Amino acid sequence: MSAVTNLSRRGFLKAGAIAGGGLVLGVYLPQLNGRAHGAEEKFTRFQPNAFVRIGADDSITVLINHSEMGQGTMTSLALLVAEELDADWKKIRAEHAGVDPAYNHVAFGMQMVGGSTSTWTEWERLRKAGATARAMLIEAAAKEWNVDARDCTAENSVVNHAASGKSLSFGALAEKASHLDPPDDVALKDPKLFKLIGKPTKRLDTPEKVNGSGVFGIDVKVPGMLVAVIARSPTFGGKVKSFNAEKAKAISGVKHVVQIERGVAVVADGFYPAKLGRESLEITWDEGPLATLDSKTQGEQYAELAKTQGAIATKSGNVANALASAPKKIEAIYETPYLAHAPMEPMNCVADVRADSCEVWTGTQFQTADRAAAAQITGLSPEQVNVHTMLLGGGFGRRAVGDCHMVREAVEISKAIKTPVKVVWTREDDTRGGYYRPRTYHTIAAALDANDKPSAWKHRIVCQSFIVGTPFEPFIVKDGVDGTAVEGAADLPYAIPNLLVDWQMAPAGVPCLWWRSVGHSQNAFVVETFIDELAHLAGKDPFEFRRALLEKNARYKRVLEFVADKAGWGKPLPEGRGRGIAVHESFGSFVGQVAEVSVSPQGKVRVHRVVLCHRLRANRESRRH
Amino acid sequence: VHLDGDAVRFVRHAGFARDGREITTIEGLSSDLSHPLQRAWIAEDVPQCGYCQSGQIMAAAVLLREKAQPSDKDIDDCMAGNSAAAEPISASAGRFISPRK
Repeated sequence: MSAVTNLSRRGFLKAGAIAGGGLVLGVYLPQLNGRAHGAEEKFTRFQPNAFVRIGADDSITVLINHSEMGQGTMTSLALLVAEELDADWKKIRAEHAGVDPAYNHVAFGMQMVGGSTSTWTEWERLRKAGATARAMLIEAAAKEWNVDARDCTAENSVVNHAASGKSLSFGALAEKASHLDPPDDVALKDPKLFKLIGKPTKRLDTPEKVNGSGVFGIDVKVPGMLVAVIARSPTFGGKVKSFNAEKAKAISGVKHVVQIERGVAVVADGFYPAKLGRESLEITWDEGPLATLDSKTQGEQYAELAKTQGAIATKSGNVANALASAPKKIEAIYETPYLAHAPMEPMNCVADVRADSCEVWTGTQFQTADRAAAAQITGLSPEQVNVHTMLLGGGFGRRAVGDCHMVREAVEISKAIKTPVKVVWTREDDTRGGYYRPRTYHTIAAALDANDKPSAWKHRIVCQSFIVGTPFEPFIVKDGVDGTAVEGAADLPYAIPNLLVDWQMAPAGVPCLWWRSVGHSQNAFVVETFIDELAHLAGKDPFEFRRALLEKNARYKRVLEFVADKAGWGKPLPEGRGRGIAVHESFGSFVGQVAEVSVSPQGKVRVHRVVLCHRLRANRESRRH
Repeated sequence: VHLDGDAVRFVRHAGFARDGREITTIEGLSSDLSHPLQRAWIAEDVPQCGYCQSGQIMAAAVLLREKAQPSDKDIDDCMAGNSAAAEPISASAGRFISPRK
């Protein structure tokens, strides 16, 4: 699954041989911020695969296929390449990759970022990319010196031949290496020999984020670009019935008013006139079937759905019998609301649609889908569409949009007005625009046996699915259960003999989307709160109560014990202060927390201290241990 | 940004851009990352997504110009309102200040 696509084996991107040998990307990245990389007349760089370029000037560029949105991929992924390349870390820079199947996520088969997967899924592929480049540089040096490649070593961006004392820098070897065929396979380092991975390293993207040179989607400017603000339906699923744009068009700076699939766009020579124009539109909406939707009625509907069993996510023993015969029982209802992702950088997208090309600049988590959407709207082939991934001012899942509505809006408008356009959402547009974490309603019941040990756990979750009916359904929906609805609940770590977790799908309507840790974000709260209730019912310490149920879950248990120890669990606290503990696993990472809190006589909760233990799913080695 | 030397939220003061007042953006802090705050931000690896960092740094720059030895409370008060990653940001501002004590 981790094969590196070597340039010389297939026509990668717009690669082509140029004077002086070497293979380079064609003009691909935007002329922004003095960072253009165009094909030039003479040799400029050695690019053995999709992920690394080495210049004659010793510069090393790592192409990052998992968008940087604050999680640090520009550094962590560059480290994987640099480690196996034996590169001088100071010479490494990272930049977002273009769109190509070579950059597809090894687990998802599409170019996207999400699911806390970037480091572990690239662990092998990017190390191989670095090792391949290193092997070719060594081979180039061996040829140059007429010595055996096995007698050469690489260190700090230099190839050395100990016997003769000769050495050449990667940059000096780049052109020669570019004429060689990549090796079929390369050996990877023993992790014990790592010099960079696992060592404290400064982020590569900090300098550009503290001097204003980093380019976020909203910073993009292209010549002749106009700015659009869109009036979208005030109800979810509503459509434009008719509109009058006369007043909007009369506003100074407003250039066009265009109806698109999702509303009416006012296009102006700046954001402010576009926004004023939008306020002056007179639109009659077909408000659609959700016009009368309200939270109270929906809540009642969810409570009704919770009365009957849904699709079974996990089942063992006989919960009904165990609950009926138990000496002690407890029940609870939990509700969580719709939540907006609210990334700091407002939603935006720049599109420039031409007769034979379409350029899109945006901070996206889902390049493959965005490119396909732009191709579909323009009638161009995907290869004629370039999606330029800009820095994301927060993603959290909001910028991994299967329906690609942000890109579609911009492409539709640019196609209509034949001019580059930037669509800007106001913060209010984003907050009321949907794509929320689904509202959820949980009923949960548990029982203790005669020895105060948990004997039954029954958890029913009611929520919408944002997976059913999408291309993700075959991957995420199993036996009628949307995995994103029950994750963190169906995989209950606590050993309870009679267990039932099921899911009732609530009616679709409000646009929902993966929000941060997705189902875990609410299910961890419900499970960890309710296990505390159960410990209380048993009259036991919540740490000891959990620990006794984690005998078969070693990593959970270790994280729980570690955080309890570090937090001084059980040690005396000041008057009026208490401790709470929770542990959870999501996407292969384990988190334990202990919070010290107090509650004022007025009921105000104050958090005094939180101790956190986080075991990351970083790589195969750490997963084995 | 700094408007005539004072830290303001540009979104609320965009109109001033037209009336001849002096505006300094993050780019005006230093051309080579040499400003002590930029150095502190790099040393502490402060930014995550980084979108708010220009505002954070420009607010801190005025605080330090006005008060070379601000208290923790001064720092918290000054940095409130510029969202996200508040803890490491205050820590960096603190790191910058402490060597001068």
